[in-house]
This record gives sequence, structure tokens and C-alpha cells, in this order.
Amino acid sequence: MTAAWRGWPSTLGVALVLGVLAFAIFGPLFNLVVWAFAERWYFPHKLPSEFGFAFWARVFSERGGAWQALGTSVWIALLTVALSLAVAVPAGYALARVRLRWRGLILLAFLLPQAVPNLPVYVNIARVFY
Amino acid sequence: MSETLAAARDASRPRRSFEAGGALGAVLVAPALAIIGLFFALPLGLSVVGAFRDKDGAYTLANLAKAYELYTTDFVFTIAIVALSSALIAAFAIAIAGYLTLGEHPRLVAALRWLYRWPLFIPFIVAGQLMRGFLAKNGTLNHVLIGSGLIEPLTAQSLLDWRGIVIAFVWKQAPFVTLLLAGAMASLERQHVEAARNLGASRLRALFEIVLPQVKGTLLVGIVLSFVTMLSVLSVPLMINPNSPTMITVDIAYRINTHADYGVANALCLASLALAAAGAWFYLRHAVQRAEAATP
Repeated sequence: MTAAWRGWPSTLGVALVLGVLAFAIFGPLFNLVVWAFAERWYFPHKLPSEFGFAFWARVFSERGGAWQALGTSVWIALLTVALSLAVAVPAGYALARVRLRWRGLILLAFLLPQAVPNLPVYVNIARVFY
Repeated sequence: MSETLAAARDASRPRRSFEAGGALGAVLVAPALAIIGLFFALPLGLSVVGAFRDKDGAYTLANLAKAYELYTTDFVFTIAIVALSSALIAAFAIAIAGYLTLGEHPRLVAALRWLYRWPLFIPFIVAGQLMRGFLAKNGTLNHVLIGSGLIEPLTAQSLLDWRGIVIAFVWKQAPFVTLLLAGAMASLERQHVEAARNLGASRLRALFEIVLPQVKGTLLVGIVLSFVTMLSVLSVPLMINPNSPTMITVDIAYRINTHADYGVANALCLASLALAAAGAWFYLRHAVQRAEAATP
């Protein structure tokens, strides 16, 4: 009890830093949530004057095309994860449990895509496929 | 008693199936290697070769010359932003991971551990949009600063320039490097730190002289991975600061979308590859030094 009380300035200091960190992390997210439901918001006011779903209706309407885009995104992500797992799990098993002749070189080949910026790859994949 | 111990030890040790070696290993690894070869190595090779070819296919240095003439400022801008972001990411990662390892208030350590990981799950493009709302002249940051009386309403400024890009990168990548670093620090032996503390070292000194030297490799890996990732992000600079000067990823996209100029785009890609190679060289040098120090 006495030890905890003796250290209270440092506890307060750390709690303050944590508060600032929480603001830095959740501030932008909170801002996004407020903007998503705001319908009218002018500068000096700290919060919107009107809340509503007007923009949601506009985005998810028939002409908005958001449902198709969302569906495509989710489908691509799921397919990528499934195919990556299907290919990576056997490879991982082989690297860990089976004796491979060029184990070091194969590991290097798997690590290389992580060490290289992928924009050049995207640019030229488009050329290969189109 | 000893038989169960021996059995437990054998069960936990991984076994290599030497009989089915060779062919099985090749078959298991082949699909992954084929994908890397076809969808990574081939386009990368095309990119490097494409930087030296003009529209008719002849070999030329004109693309490099044009890229140098038009985009040197942006290249220097890119280096500066990514270097500054990497330094800030390292600083935050060391601070947060250090407190998680050496902190003495269990509740605050638990709170920090819960808090710092949130930005990990947010894609770069969403982080760019978050920062556009947060850092704008009428954004949340300025609202809070004005509301708490720290700045005057008239002196509020928009941070949507190079500072916004750095903030977005640090916000997104610092938790990743912190995660790596905290894991490495947690696997260290406590006795070194405890011995130092018993001899009177402060926690800060224990962090910089005992803990950090042992996790230098992990920190370097995290920073190099972040460096390479930040070099390839298009969404963040496009959303926060598309005006000149900007990062070369924006220039690459512009060259392709507006001019269909794959030559100069590939030349710029070559430049960013060279930059990434410079970063990777730091890591390789450290890894080689470590390997040499380890062998007697």
C-alpha cells in the first residue's frame, strides 16, 4: 500500500501518456464514425448539427454500386486467403519436417517478396494479364 | 518416471522423415515456388528489363534520363519521408515495448497492451481516410486542441502535407514493429534485467543497455519490413498529399494511368527497388556480423 502511494507521480505520468496515446489511436476512428453519420456540420461546432443515414442510403442505393464493390472485395480477400493457405501449408510442413536439399535457398525465395516493394510487381502483372 | 519424461521429450521434438525426403519435399514446396516464380519473380524481372526499353522494344537509357529529370525532387522527398517515419516508428516501438517489458504497474501495462494493437487491423487506405478527417484544418485534432485551450482557433493549421503522410505511416506501422519487439523482449531471460536493477540501474538504463542490445536483430527486421512496406504504399500519399512534391508511388501511378508510359514507370520502380535494396543491405550486414560473431 505505501509503496504504491509513494510512486503516485510516476503512475499519474504514465496514465497521462496512455491517455494521449488512446486519443492518438481512437481519435481518428471516432472522427470517422462521427463523419459517417453526420448530415450537416459547420466549422466552429464541435459536433454535427444533424445526424442521419442520408449518405448511407446514397452509397448503398442501386446506382451507388457499393454492394457489388463490397462483394468483390470480400470475395477476392477470401479467395486469396484460401489459395494462399492451400499452397503455404504444405510448403511450411515440408520446410519444417521433411529433409529438403536447398532449404536455405527455398526459404530465401519465400522471404524475398517481403523484402521488395510490390508496386513494380503490380504494374507488370497488369501487363502480363492484359 | 524417467520413461514418461523421455517419451514426452521425444513427442515434443520435431522429427524429420528422412525416408520420404527428396521427392515428397519437392512436391510439397513446388506449388508455392511456382506461384512466387510466376506472379512475383516474372513481373519483377519484366519491371527491371522494362525500365531499359522504349515503346518499340529497343534498349535505351532514355527512360532513366526522363525519370531523373522529372522526378528527382519526389525521390528525395520519398527517401526523407520513409527515413523519418522509420526513425519515429523505431522510437515508439522501443518506448511501448520497453514499458510492456519493464513496467511496474500491472493495470497500466495491461491497458497499454490492449491499446497499442488497434491500428494493426486497419488497411492503409482506411488509415489515409482517417487521417484526412483527423488532421484537416477543421478536423478532430484541431477541435480538441482549440477546445482544450492549447491553441487559438485562428492558428489552427491543416497537417495534410508531408507531416500527414509521416503521421499516417507511423500510426499504422508502429504497432506492427512494437508487436515484433515486445515478443522478442518477452522471450529474454529476466535475470539479466533483475541483476542490473539489483545493482541500482534505472529501468531506462536497463532498457538501453541490457534489453535493447539483445533484441537489435528483431528491431532491424521490423524496421526494414516497415521501410519496404512504406515504399510501396500508393493510397496514403494519394489521399493526403497528392500535390508536388509527393512520393514516387504517386508518380508511377500517374505515368501509367495518364500517359500509359510503362518505360518511365518501370524506371521509377527500379529506383524504389534500389532504395529497398539499400534498406535490406543494412539488415543483411547485421545478419552476417551476427553469424560471424556466433561461429567460433
